[in-house]
Amino acid sequence: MSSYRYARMIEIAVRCYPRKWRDRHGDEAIELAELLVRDGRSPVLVAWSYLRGAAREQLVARPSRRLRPALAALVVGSTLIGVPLVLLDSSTPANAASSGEVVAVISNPSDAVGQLESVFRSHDFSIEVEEEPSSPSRVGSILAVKAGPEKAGGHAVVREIAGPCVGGTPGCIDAIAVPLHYTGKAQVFVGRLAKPGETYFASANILCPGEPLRQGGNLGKTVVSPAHDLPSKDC
Amino acid sequence: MAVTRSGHDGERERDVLRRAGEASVLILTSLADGPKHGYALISDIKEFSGLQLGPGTLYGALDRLESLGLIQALPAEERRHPYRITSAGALALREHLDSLERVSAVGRLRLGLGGV
Repeated sequence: MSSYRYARMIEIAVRCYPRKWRDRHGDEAIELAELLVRDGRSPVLVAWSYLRGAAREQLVARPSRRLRPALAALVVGSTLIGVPLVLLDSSTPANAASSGEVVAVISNPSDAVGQLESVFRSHDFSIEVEEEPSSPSRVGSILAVKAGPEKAGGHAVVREIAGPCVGGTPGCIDAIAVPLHYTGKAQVFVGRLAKPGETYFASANILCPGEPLRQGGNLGKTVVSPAHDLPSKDC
Repeated sequence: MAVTRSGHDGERERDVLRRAGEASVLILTSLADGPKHGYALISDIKEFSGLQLGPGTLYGALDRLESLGLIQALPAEERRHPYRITSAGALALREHLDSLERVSAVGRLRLGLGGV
């Protein structure tokens, strides 16, 4: 079985857990699976163990929803015979695979780089993730994607997906979709807190939460008033 | 829910671990000599017991033990979450091992294998 195939199988198994569980253990669970497989453990048995655990968790979390274990069984069955899956769960995980493409989602902005790298590594994508200084509300979101010249029908092969910024304001990019068999090279730039003296690689609307005119209760004041609070040009 | 010994003379601790299952006993035993994260736990358990704990079983047992107050999650190291045994966990493990020893002694005696 190829490394891609088993990685996908384990990702799908981990997706069957409740979102709360995935937020806490998801990344570690995938890393643990990789280590166990590297040590010689069967990927099928590792995935099966996660599926059984997911069924237990779902029954404990929402006992009335008995369909979950059935879904888990469906997932493992479909995966083992290689059927691409589109799981229509509203709680999209950090590494969801939809039909024909892999969607890498940042669900935890404080670990945005780790989440993206984990997805790219598990699919053997040559996509580097780099951090660049950004204004506060874009920290932990995708600032830009620099993909190779590959184009499909005039559209970029690596697709950006908009989502909320830190604080809930719309207008950020918190996911990208990559074709399953993408072989090109790409760079993804993720926002981090800027250090004193650094220039922002990207910034958000200055009225967004965390941005200069949102801070200190400036909203609603006249232009004269907040101007006194803004840093001077020499800062 | 933390487990304490007050007023139950250890019964509650033994009950907790009996219900929690074998994986929980193995995890507490592994954590008895220091904090470990998931991979280290699985490797250690395999080494001292010969049993290969499935990762799904491991996480289920860790969550259960944590909710019982028998282990505590430590700050994450990158993606790994180490756990340590709590004093309640150490007490529960000791009670459980004492109980197993008593059963073991009786079993060995009845099989004519000697023992206590």
